[in-house]
Parts: sequence; C-alpha cells; structure tokens
Amino acid sequence: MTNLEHRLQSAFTALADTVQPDDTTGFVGTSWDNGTGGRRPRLNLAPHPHPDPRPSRQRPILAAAAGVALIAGAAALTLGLRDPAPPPPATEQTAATTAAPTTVTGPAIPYRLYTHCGIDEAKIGDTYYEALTPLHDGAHNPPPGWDNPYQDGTMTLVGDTQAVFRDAKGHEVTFRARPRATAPKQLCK
Amino acid sequence: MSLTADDALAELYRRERPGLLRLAVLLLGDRAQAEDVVQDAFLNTHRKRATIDHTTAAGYLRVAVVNGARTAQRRRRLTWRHHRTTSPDAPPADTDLLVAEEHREVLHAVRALPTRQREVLVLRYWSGLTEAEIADTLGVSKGTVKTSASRALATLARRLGDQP
Repeated sequence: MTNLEHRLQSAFTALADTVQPDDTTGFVGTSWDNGTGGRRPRLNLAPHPHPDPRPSRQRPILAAAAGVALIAGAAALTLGLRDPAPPPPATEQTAATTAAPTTVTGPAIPYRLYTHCGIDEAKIGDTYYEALTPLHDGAHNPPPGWDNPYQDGTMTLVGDTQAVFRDAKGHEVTFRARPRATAPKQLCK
Repeated sequence: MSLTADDALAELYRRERPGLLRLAVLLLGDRAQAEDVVQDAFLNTHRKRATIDHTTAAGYLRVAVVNGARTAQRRRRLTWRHHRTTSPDAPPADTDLLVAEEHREVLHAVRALPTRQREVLVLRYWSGLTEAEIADTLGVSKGTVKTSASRALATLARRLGDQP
C-alpha cells in the first residue's frame, strides 16, 4: 500500500470514528438541522448500544470534552452575543455584552448554522448545544440581518462546554453544550 | 428455534447499523443526512422483511445506503443551485472540528472528487471491499471500478503532493 493509500485509510478511519451511533434514541434521524424536511418514521429495533464493528480507535478528545457536564458556575461564563446590524430587533436581546477573555481551544471551522426558527440550537459532532441567549424576531424567525434557513459562518470550540458562532456580518453567538442530550429541544420545520 | 422476520431484522439492525452509518457519513460528510439515509435503508428493508434473504441483506443494505447517499447529494446540489446557501461540497463543520488537521486536508481533497470516484475510494479503503464487491455495490463493471480508483488516486496525488 502506498503512502497516499495509508493517508486515505487513516483519514477515513478518523472521520468514521467521529460517529458514535447512539442506539438509545432508536431508529430516528436528526434532520432537524439539515433542512431535508423533517424526521423519518421511528422504528425501534435496537434498544441497546452495541460495539463498533471496526477496530476501535481513540475517540477525539474534543468529542469527549464537549460531552462533559456543565459546571455549576456556568452562569458566570461569558455571554458572547453581539449583533452589529442596526437597528436591533426590539423583541430580543441583541445588546453587546462585555466579553471576558476566553481561551480558544479549537480552530474556527466553517459552519452552517440552522436559523429557520431563530438562533437557538446547534449540533457539533454528536453534541447538542443551545444558545446562551436565543435570538428570534418574536415569531420564531431569525432576527433581521440573519440569513434563513441557514447562516454561514464559523464555529469555534471555547473551553469544554462552549462554542462560539461568528459570521462575516459580525454576528457572534455563544452556545453551551447540553450534556447527554440526544435530540434537539424543539423540532423546527 | 427459528427467528421471526422481525427478530432477524432487529439482529441485522444491531449488527449492521454502526458500520452503515459510518459509511454514509464518509459518503456524505453530514451526520444528520447520513442518519436519514441509513434509516431509510432499514425502513425499506423492514417493509420487505417477509421476503428478504437475510444471508444477502447486509449487501442489500449497503447498496441502499450508497444509493441513498447519492440521492441525498443530488438533492443537496439542487437546493444549492436554487438557494445558493452553502456549497454542497463545503466541509461539514461538525466533523471537521473532530478530526486532526492532517486528515482534514485529505478529506477535503476526497470531497472534491466526482461522486463515483469518492464512492470507490470509501468502499475500497474504508469498507475494505474487493473490486468485484465494489462493482456489485455500485452496479458497474470491475473495469469501471479500476479506472475510477486509479483516476481518483492520481487526482489526490496531484492535490496532496503525494505518490499515487
């Protein structure tokens, strides 16, 4: 096998290992965040998790870190919400807050945030996140200045349980992990 | 004691689902879509559970997942053509956050390949299928598999500065 073939195999294995099938949720899709038109019918065939048929590899540290329970002092963590698009919607919090210095632990990765029902939830890997301060226009649409149904930008993991979404328009929203969550808080169609 | 059709399908689901889900993620790069594709494959199998041959069911499911992934990708491209939201080949953030930098470069290059070439590489280097099995899965000849693999590796070698 050539070096390129080895690299290919390693990259495929690394990507495949980011998937940890959670059979406890049953046979159900997570199309809430991909705009494909809602969930498929549920078919419960596998109530128990079972081992990966592939040789097990170490799971990425970030995935484990993202699943750690929120610490008690989470309320004191940074609220990183800025919306520079004037004027801000009256019904939602859009005022800038002074952000305390935070340690950036991950790269800023291109991210497509689902905004159709407002800016409220995100999913990174197998972990569900919720916005520290959800944004919508009062009728569960994204506020003015946000694209619908998606806003392209970047997501950066900050610390173990937080992630920050930023886009070219200057939006910045901080999300916190929902430990052990296996589904979104609400289904947006 | 023989298994009922439901028991057999439940066993098939327990055994095959993790591998199929990973296959779909590799083909699509999107966990949510991958779950839908795998789920659809099992739903179709469930509908035919009374008649399905369980000795070949795993292969049938694999074909269903590959075809489902292709359809999902086609739909994604169509949506992109009309709405111009995010490029259908844009790197998925959730997976990219979780893989090492050295793999990201390779995965980006693979994502830029034509669909069939990408399928051949995934089935060969991740699923570990033979050329004949890949040909069966994709419904093409062994020659097409060989050509696709060779072209894909040549393209990757060029892009990654590696030997094919």
